[in-house]
Amino acid sequence: MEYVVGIDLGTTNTCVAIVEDGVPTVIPNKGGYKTTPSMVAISESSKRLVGHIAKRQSVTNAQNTVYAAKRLIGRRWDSPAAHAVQQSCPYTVVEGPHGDVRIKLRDTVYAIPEISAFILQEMKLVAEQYLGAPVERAVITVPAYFNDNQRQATKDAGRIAGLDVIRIINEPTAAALAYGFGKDLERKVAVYDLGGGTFDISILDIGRGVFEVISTAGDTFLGGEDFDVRVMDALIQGFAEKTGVDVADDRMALQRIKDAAEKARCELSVAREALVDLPFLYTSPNGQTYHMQESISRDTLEELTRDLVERTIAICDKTLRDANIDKGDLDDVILVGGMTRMPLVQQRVAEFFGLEPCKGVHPDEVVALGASIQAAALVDESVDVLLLDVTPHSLGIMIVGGYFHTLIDQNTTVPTSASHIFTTVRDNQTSVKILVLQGESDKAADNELLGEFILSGLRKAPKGEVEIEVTFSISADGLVSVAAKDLETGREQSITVTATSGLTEDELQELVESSQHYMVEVRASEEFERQRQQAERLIADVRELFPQVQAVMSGTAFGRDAIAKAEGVVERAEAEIRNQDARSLEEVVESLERTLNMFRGVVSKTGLS
Amino acid sequence: MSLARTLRLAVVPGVRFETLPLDPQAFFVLSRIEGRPTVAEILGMSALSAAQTEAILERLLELGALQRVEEPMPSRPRVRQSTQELRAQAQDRRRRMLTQQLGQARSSQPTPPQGTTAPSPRPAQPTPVPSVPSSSGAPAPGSPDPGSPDPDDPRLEPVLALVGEADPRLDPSLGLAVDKQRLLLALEDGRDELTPFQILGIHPTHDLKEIRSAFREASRRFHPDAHHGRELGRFREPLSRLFAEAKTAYQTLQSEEARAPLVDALEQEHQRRRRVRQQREAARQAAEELRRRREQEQLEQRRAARDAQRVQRERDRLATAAQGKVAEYLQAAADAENMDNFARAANNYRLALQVSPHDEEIRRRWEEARSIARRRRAKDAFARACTYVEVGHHNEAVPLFLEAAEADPTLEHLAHAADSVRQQDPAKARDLAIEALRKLTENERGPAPLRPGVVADLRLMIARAFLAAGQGESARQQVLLVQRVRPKDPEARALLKTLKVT
Ligand SMILES: Nc1ncnc2c1ncn2[C@@H]1O[C@H](COP(=O)(O)OP(=O)(O)OP(=O)(O)O)[C@@H](O)[C@H]1O
Ligand SMILES: [Mg+2]
Repeated sequence: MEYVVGIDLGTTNTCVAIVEDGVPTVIPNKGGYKTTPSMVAISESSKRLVGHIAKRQSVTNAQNTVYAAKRLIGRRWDSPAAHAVQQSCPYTVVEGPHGDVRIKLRDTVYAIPEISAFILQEMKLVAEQYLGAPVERAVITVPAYFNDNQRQATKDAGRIAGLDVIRIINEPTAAALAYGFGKDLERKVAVYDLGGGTFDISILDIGRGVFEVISTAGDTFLGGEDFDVRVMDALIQGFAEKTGVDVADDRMALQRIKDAAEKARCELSVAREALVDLPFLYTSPNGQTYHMQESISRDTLEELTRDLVERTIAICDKTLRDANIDKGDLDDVILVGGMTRMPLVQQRVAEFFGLEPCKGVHPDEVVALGASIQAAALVDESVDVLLLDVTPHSLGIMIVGGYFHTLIDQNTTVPTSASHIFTTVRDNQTSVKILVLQGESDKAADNELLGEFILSGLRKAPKGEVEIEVTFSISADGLVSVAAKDLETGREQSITVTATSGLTEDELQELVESSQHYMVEVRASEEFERQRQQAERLIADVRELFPQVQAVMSGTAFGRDAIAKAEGVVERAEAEIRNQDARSLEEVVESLERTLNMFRGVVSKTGLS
Repeated sequence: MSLARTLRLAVVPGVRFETLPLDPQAFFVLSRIEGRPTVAEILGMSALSAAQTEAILERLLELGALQRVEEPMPSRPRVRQSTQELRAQAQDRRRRMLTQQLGQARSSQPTPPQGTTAPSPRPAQPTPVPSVPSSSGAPAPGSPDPGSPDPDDPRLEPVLALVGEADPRLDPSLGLAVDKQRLLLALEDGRDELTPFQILGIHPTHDLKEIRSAFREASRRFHPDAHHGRELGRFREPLSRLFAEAKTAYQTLQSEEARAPLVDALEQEHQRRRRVRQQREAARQAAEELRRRREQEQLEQRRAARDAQRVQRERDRLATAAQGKVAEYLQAAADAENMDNFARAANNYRLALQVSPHDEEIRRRWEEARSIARRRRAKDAFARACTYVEVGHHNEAVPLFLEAAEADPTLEHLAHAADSVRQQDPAKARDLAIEALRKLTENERGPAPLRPGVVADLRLMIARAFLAAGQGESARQQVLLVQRVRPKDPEARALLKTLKVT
């Protein structure tokens, strides 16, 4: 059977899951961890590092280590988010050729979907290793409040990673799916998802296996990263006050402080006091070394970040009011995302909703589990679950005066469609350019441009006489298509609006190919690694027996010859290990095995006689 | 001088880093060393250049922060489990859980089926949803007993009639059940006239829970994801549209104002049907009454017929009895015939005919026997009369001749009777003579005419009778005819003389 996995591609952590025997299960990575840091680094030797190894080396390689790439995916170079990341991150952010954002690591420029693809590819490998079978299709989650460009970019990342992304679903929706799966629930629930980079709130109506999103909202730039920044700033300032040293330009020190800040935050979720201990944080040009030893209390943390938490609560409040939902109607609040372990968050959520949050779901795994359930629901007839999701942003077109005319309101259940009749604004106008936008602002320019197309061949007529009916449709898998029809001539044109991920089709194609190459290399190097380990073990065993064998055999010419041959084999093996050639190493391994067997024979014989 | 990549290093226990002259990089490298990694592994983790890292390691060794680990690595396999093993364990766990659950389910068999406790007794999913006889709202007045379903409830009917099974648009090769296709086509055909309730597949109701549940069912029917990966043909586009319509319908029906007219219409229809049914019921009762009456009449008619039959049977019985009597008479008649006594036979036939007056056979036999008896009597009388004449007792012969003529009015008898009675009753004689003459004429024209001699004798007798009755002319004619046959007949001559005299 073909496996379709669910992947929660998080800002901080990524998690992959599969429904096996009807049970959603998180797949552990090679290290046995259920989540993998969403980090990618390029090492000194231009090796690609993903996950835990990338994280482990990030302190000394901060400039070439990407974290939180999700904050940039599908963003434009001139967007505030890109600007903010540029200000705070240690890696180099550059403008891409299509007004998109790219990252430069060791002289190579990477598109954001490419970086995400590295993580997805790693998850693909993890799943393949666990399942012992190829994995080619996936459902990937995104924050509910992601716009179509961000979704498309995520889809492209999947494609680069060699995954057919059969569906992009919303993280809170996925969480609700995992929460309600396999239970016969009839409930209205709120999903509060605060992760490393984004915040989402979704209200769902669950019943008889149908998960209906009633309303969703969020902030795609509000998460643990922002909390880290607050703590970091406080630590840096405290350090400066104490030592007079400003570490703001020391990449390594900043990275260590960031890690320490996050660690302290996590500690403060259970303890009231945490110690930030960073020895040798800074060496001044004159050789003086400085250590950071700072204690931080939970109260301080809460003081530093209270406004961030309040922002999430304000969004919850607005959503409930906009959707006309009475808090009293909610049966449950589900907390998702690592940040919801923070006591202040839990407390404020409980206060706001007047409900004790549900403790039944694992905040780090529930999203991936939900994604795997949706994957199963789509491809497996026996999984009887239906997701009714909404479009999180209003969809419309630009009309005269640069205004935005909404055709499909936000929070409309998809699939859906809507039509509107427009007229020409100039005499003898023969073509109309239709700009498809997404967003809530009245001004078109403030909204996200999804695509544009030109309806041509209109009749020549005085302005206002030609009527064009524009129909927007959003399919169940989120594809936006627009059809325009001249009501007089019946002339029709339609396009599928492919949101821009910042990559052209050619670029994408190229990336897909190079990633396939990379996979081949990875497989080869894994093979080499296995051979190397075996060779090293054999060498060690041969060496161990060496003195005994020598004692017995050096007496004869034949014996001396055999010993010399054995030494030759060991040397050759060591040389091939250095050469990193898997094929030749494999041959030497065979010789090594023969040598070891011979040695063992000699030793056992002498032991007997 | 470089460090062997396979060399293993470890942090010297008890060393106080803070006292060492380290820079941040050196400290970082030191902090990365856990356990006994090889130099190669440390190089991989540090992310610094190999040369830089090696320099740091050498310095750390020099400072006594690190030490070489000489003893060989225990060559036994790593303790960490492979992902394959983890997976096998997970599978095993699941299997155990499943069997345990199955066991539990089995042991708790007699309890009612757990899990899905559907709020309404709606059958699995034959579409369209045959709606539940709603329990909402008080039973309307006059409705039949509340326990049984109300026959007037329009909700007992399907919400929407499916298109026919032979509709050409149906395509069994699609990944969509034909019944579903029939429903979709029905929805499409009725597109512009469907109420929100019809789109959701339920009858109008104010029950929001039922509406919500109907929307969920409709979503399962229409949402493209419910048919993911299947061949949908012409239905693909309508499914998306119907889903959107179901959603709109669901939203619309949240408002009481939207529901009210539809629910009211349903209730009115319900009332109307009840009225119609009541009227129909009344009509049916009237018809029933009529039928009963008619039946009663028929019953009575049958009874009368039965009575008539009885009478008939009585009659028949009597008739049978009469038949016995007739048989007796007939037997007697037959006996009489056998004894050549036709008078008695005729008498018996007459008696039988009296009992059974319409029996033509008896009448025929009666007439036959009577005529034979008469002829016999006539013959007898004639013979006796002739005997009397021979012996000269003419007066005694007259009544006998008359009797014979009367019993068997043959030509001979008539002529003799006329001749013999001419002295006593000339008028009678004349009548008899006329009759005899008629018969004679008949005979002469008939197939077996009498011999002329016999005829001449008869004519003489007729002539005498005429003469006696004063009909001279008729008598003379007869005589003249005789003379033609026997010109010298003395009798004739004598008669002619007499006639001349008169
Ligand atoms: N015990 C804890 N206390 C406080 N914060 C925690 C704790 N554990 C994890 N976090 C924070 O949660 C964040 C990561 O959460 P999570 O893994 O859910 O995010 P993500 O899914 O990667 O991001 P996103 O969903 O926003 O894309 C990090 O900022 C981390 O510091
Ligand atoms: Mg998340």
